[in-house]
Amino acid sequence: MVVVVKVKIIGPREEVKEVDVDKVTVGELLRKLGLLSSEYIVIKNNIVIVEDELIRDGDEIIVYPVKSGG
Amino acid sequence: MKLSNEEIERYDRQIGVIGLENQLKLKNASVLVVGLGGLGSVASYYLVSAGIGRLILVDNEVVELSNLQRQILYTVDDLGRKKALVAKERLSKLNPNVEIIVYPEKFTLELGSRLVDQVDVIVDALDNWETRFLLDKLAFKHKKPLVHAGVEGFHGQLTTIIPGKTPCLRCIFHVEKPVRRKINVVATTPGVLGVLEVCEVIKLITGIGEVLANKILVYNGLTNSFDIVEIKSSDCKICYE
Repeated sequence: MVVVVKVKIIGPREEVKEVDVDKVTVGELLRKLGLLSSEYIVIKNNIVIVEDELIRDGDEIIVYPVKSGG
Repeated sequence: MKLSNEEIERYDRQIGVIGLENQLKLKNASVLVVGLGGLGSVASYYLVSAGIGRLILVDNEVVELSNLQRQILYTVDDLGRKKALVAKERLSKLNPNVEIIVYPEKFTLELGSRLVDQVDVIVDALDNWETRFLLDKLAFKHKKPLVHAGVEGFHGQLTTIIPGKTPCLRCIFHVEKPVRRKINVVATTPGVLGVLEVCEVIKLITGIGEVLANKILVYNGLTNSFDIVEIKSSDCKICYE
């Protein structure tokens, strides 16, 4: 199954990508985007979702890099 | 402890909002701020101006020229001096009613164990996850609320950890292998997030309003947006029990 999700990546150059994923967990999506799951929080429907959570066709996902500076 | 006439006049505009009883709660409260960089400069400044009774500050670094772009407690006259000692001088002049205790040393498990138990609220103004998770662990052990912020560039995040009610910091952010690196930041970003940290402290102590428990505020200075996202409370593995 191919799932199309719209992913908004927050950062200095904010971008929206449409991604075809054949595995539908948060972890797989991040790997597909080349992002480390330990450096981002993933938000779906305004809720932070964990790495093994499923992403469904048509979901809108926001990927937010965790900031560590003080 | 009562408020003096000088304090009632000093806090007049704030008492008009939160009331005399809540101003007294602030006076009777103790807050620990760990880190006196961009976030800590701003947070300690507003905690003192708002009338927190007792403030404990920890930072082992000295003032450098590259700090002055955002760390508003310091000036060129302070270059090379310990931040904690400068902070005490400056903040005591702002509000001599506040008892300010400083530790110009590294925040360790041993120091933290002694300090955390003495305070009502902890403010995370750190610049690295390694020490943040140590603070998080101590907050859970001693059941103290911890206000977290992190900044970089034009962006930042803020959340309030309440042991027993919210997941711990480690469970929210999943930073497994913390790496220390140089972090670039625009002058205003720690200003915005540091002020919001103090707003959380005021609400925690007085009980007014809602704190960011089980929620993360995500700030984007480039688009002027403040988004609030929810955290499922079941996410925590209760790492520290």
